[in-house]
Amino acid sequence: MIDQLLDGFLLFATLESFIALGLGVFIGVIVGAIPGLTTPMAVALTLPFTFTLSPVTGILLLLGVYKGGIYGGSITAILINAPGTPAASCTVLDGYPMAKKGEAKRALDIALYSSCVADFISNISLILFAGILASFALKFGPAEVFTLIFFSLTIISGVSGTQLLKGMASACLGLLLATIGMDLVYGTNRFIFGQTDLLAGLNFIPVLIGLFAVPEILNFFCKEQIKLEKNPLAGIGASIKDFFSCFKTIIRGSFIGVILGAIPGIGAAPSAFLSYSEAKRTSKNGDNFGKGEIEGVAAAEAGNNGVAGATMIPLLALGIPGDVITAIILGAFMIHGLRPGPLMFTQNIELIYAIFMGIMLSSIYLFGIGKICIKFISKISDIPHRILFPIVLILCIFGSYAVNNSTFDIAIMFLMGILGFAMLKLSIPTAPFLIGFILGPILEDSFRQSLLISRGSYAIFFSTPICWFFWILTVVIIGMTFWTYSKSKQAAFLTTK
Amino acid sequence: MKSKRLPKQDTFSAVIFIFFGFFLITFLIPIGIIEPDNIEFSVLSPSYYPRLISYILVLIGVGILIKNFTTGFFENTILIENKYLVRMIIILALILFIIFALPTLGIPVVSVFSILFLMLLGGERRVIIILSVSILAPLFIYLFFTKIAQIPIPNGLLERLL
Repeated sequence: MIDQLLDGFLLFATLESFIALGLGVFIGVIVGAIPGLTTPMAVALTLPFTFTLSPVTGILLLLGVYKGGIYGGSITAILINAPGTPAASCTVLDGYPMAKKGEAKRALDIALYSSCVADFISNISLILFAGILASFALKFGPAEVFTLIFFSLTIISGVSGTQLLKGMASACLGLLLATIGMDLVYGTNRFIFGQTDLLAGLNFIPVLIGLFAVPEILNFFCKEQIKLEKNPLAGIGASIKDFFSCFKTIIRGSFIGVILGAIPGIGAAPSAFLSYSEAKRTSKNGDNFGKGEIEGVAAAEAGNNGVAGATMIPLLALGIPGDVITAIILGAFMIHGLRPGPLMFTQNIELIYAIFMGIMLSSIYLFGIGKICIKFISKISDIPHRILFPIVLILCIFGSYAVNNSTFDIAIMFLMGILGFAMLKLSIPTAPFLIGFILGPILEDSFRQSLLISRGSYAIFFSTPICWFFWILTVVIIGMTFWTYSKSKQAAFLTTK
Repeated sequence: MKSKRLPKQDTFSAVIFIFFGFFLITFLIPIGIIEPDNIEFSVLSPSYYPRLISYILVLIGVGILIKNFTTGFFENTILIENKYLVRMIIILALILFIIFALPTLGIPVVSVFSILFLMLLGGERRVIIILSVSILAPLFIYLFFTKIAQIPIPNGLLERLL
């Protein structure tokens, strides 16, 4: 084993690997921070550059882009309320309110610290538990995924604040919006109305930008300009105390990310929402979530970055790509004549060790590059809104267009923006809408796949201990929510009387 | 801005949810979802899941209505103050302009015009700032997307120039 480790180290310890990894993380952070440029797009565009590189260097370049991209999405989510990636959509819930209070640097700092810790834990988990987690992940069939996602939807109660029923209705609207496009079971159209641009469904990015960034811009022009109160934390980064106050949340979020990341097809966004939900439920500052709570940012970022290393588990251990990015990385392996899977651990173990070493280094790179970026990017929050918001709107237009090279997506973004603005004015929370829209496709696919397997019998959703585990958790959480909700209403009623 | 209590506003949301739910069930789903003939189990039908959610939406709407009539605790905000209504209409007109002018004018021209217009609307009066930001910001974003990210941006009027 020592010999193999040494061989792995020699494969990894080349100047070009160090440069490629750093460059990858940098590209990822920049691309992730620009709404419309997605991480899969960046990884795909980087793929041709790996053809001439050695396998380890090429794969580390792609991994760097992937890891940087997941973190980078949080930057614009915090600064301009426009998540750069779907994974960062949960970060806006507390990140942007913090920026509005003048605490952008603090939010960016804690996002970076959480991302690095979660990334590190995810990498360690990949190295130590790849085999165990891969076999656990294989136990997740469609029924288990359905119960898991259904459980994740309980977060709606957490992000709806005092408007629980409106939040649930908002989530329903998000779930309905996610059904637009071609039905995957029968291949028939749903809500297309002859518009071919809708065949593939609505893309996440224009919907995310429209729902969060555009209403903020519209609202700025349609209300009295309020001068910011002097905030003692303005311009100050996150302190050690801040980090340790969020530490438990970060660790929990990281492990949620690791477990969900190991399950093919789940992705970073559900993990971020689940981590956020758990943090809100257990935190003593739970009531501040959604109003600019630092722990909320930490939970979301730990949740989505915890996925980064773990998505490599099914890829390396089983040869199964869990998402689009790992599918591209699988392609990179194959281009270099390698086939990930159990055999790789016996035939090319030194290459696996070399990749593990590079992955560990990527967390350090992420920290360094993130710190440098924050230093310059956090200045954006100092730009007056009358100048910043028009620029943001233009960036949103370019970003929405870039997703599919289609002006139709720009129209969708504005439509979502107007919807988001109307929801803002009617006090209908938009976060549940987003959760419904993001989790909707996974929920429906797993629901129908399960029923296809069981030939229409609902018994499949109660057939395994994993399903029961999530049902029990769901019932407990819903029960607790309604109990807390009715108690708070009762208290409010008595106070008014 | 906090304002006088407007109990009808929650009712308004509830009515929207109920109306939209029924609209989906009775109109949008039947005409918007093509049902194949060979459906073995009704739960696998493409319309089953959207229909289920639509019913839930209606139920939630009814729930909000009942809550309003039984408790009456809600404090809401005025949607848009009259003095800002004109601004809202102007911005909506700008959005329509952007959507419809994009294919002919191109993203760069529309961007310059939109930034200039919005900065003026937002209260910026320094000519140098207005001109430099409205030209340089779209130019920088345009160069990034076209030269670095290699995304072909529709140039419209400037097709020959760029």
